[in-house]
Amino acid sequence: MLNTIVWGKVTLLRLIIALAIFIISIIISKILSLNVRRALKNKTSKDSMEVVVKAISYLVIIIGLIWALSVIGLKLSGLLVAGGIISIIIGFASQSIVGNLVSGVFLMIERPIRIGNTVNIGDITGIVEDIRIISTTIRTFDGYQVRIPNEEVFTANISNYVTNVVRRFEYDVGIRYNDDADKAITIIKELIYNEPFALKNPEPLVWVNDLGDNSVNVNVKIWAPVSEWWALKTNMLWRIKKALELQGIEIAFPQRIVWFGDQRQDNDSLPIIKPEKED
Amino acid sequence: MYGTYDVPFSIKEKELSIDVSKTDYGFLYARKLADKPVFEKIILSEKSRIIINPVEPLNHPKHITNYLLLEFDKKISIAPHKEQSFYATFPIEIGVFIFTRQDFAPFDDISLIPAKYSLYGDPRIGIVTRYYATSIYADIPEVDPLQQGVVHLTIKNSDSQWNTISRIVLNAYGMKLYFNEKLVQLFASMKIINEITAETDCYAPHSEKGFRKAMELYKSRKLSILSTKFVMMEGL
Repeated sequence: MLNTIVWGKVTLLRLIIALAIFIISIIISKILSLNVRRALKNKTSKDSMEVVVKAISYLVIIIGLIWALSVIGLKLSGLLVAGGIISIIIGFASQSIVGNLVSGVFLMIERPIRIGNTVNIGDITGIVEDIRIISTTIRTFDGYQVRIPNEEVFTANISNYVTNVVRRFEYDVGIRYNDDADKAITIIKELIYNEPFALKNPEPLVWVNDLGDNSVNVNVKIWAPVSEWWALKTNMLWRIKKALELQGIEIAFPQRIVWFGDQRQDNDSLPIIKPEKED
Repeated sequence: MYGTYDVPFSIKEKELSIDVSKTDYGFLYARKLADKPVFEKIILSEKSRIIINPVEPLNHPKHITNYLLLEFDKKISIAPHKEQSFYATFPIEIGVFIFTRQDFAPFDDISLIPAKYSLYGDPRIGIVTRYYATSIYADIPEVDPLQQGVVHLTIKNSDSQWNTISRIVLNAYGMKLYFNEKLVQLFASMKIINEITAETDCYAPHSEKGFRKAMELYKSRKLSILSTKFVMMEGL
């Protein structure tokens, strides 16, 4: 029964052996991937580790595939000749797949993004979960997964928020015109000084940058380690507000004083409005 | 406060108190620091010991770097091929380790002084460091051994011209702390290569009588250490 011809000169036995070789190569690639991951854990970045793991995994599977094909009588040289003709046909039929594949290779070489990076690709913002040969997976901050074809990733504008080790954020703090801006700057600087993750260098900047319609605007620029940037940004503004209010400096809000001529009698601080003389 | 303790035990020094008490399920570790909330942890072991010793100051409030940057209050100009030693201070943290005969592990980490971080280099290729400003001293200064240590710093200018330094960056992997009840010591060297480059390293002294070597937090984390040196390439 095992000698039954299945196709051409390929017997059932040879087909089973070829399938077994291919399946075993997949199993070996999985085992190797697992062991390489274990060996490289804590020794290299997750991103570099994944590139090595994928390279080993693909290599083992390709060797297994070539071996399996040779068992059923398909020689690699024959495949290359046939491939020349077939590739033209496939090339037209699968332009987008080839485009994605080539883009994937270039993404792995150029590495504008790495696994674990917080990025914005087109209009998608999130953390890079995986960069595969055809597509890239992003986990958005809402918790869902987006698969983006590599061609799209490669041609899109990419903002990588964590490439550099530090990152800056800023606030505009509007205080009242009758508050002391110098005192406000001192309070804010002291708060920044006491915050561990507000970096000493690059130096934080606190300065009056605008005399607005309703407030004196104090601009605050703080650098933080990229891992702490978001946490610091989300809590620092409220702490600045509370620290200022503790010292009697209040955040200004839009206001307009309207008075009428006869109100002058009740409030000496209001300017005198002389009624127009009747002719 | 530094030493080895069999559980249960209770110690207090200044604003810090550590109490390990027996409970129905094992032991309860309770640490109180000033007016901060009590930190508690359960120990599930019939017999264990606690070691308290100074550790590298890179874990509070969060471990985000392996580097300590010491900035000197005065710039130091050093003549060509001159070698000079002096003392400076550096922050320390109090490491609490738990161990049995089989294994040991970091258990708690306490800091009595506030941390500050800084960037060494530029935002693109620089590194985040734990920042500390220090004076320089000809003799060992008096410090609180629960808060600060003294670094014995040897600077060698291997360049053929005068160089000026204002800071040193040390790699935590090489920090070997030696301590007794009064002093925590660290030995470091800085070899100036040119006006913007220097190699720094921490080293073990030949003998330090009356001092014990502190258990290293990095060693206890069982991390593979690549190098204990650091090359300062972004200015001195």
